[in-house]
Amino acid sequence: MTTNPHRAAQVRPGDRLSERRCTVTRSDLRRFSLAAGDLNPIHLSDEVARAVGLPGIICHGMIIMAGALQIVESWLVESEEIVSASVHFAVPLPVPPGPGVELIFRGRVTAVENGVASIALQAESGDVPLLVGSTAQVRLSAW
Amino acid sequence: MTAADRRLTYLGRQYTTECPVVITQEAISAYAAAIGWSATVNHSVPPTFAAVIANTAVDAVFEDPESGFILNHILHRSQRFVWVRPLRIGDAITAESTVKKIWPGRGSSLVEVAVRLLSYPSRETLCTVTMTWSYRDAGGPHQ
Repeated sequence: MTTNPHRAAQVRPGDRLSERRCTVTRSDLRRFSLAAGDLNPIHLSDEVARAVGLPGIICHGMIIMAGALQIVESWLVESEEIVSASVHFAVPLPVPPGPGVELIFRGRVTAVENGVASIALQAESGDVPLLVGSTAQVRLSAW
Repeated sequence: MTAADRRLTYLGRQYTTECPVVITQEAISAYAAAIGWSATVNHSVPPTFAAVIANTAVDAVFEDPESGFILNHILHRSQRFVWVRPLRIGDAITAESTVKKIWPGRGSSLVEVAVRLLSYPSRETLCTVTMTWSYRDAGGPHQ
């Protein structure tokens, strides 16, 4: 990662961020519940999830958002930072026992204004969009 | 008064954490492992870790037996962060949550909670975290 004095002038609407794939298993959900102090049992128990109308254990929304923001973090150069981000979860993502589910994250620059790049965020699992109307804003370096 | 009516009285209710949360390397390592995250020169704390601290002021809603809110009736629908600066290891932070909006629906309601993360003891805003839940009434569908 190097400082790029022309970064703000080089980033253009339409630029694509490197996509990222990851797999989420039920073990990951347990680890996240502990690390995040999120005790909602819909991420840990099929029985509880079904009792509240869900198909079974579902993924934490914040695992999906964190995954989407990681492609933005990887795209930053020195002295840049994410200043805001907003996501809407389209559907609950069931995580079955066993190998889990594969997620794909994508991002695309939609605007550059006053040294701030807006990035549209996408997450999919098995061609099902998990996020709608989701964005992050990055303050670009050397503005 | 029904449970749904009781929850409506929580509009505008505020909760504040009494003790600051200090961001430790141990907590970040556990959270980073759960989401497969690595530090960058820009972010030494995963940006979404702000939600973990914010939730310390949201848990109180569920711990209050009068609130009528039950944790496993919640489905996370949207999440927004506005960071004044990236959070850092060693930051001491208090959180203040406010139930901002409740949109009652048939069988479930949408609930918006906003949380300010403040530096301790200087009380400068570090991050604003806004979350929306679908709150399922007994037997109702999620919105």
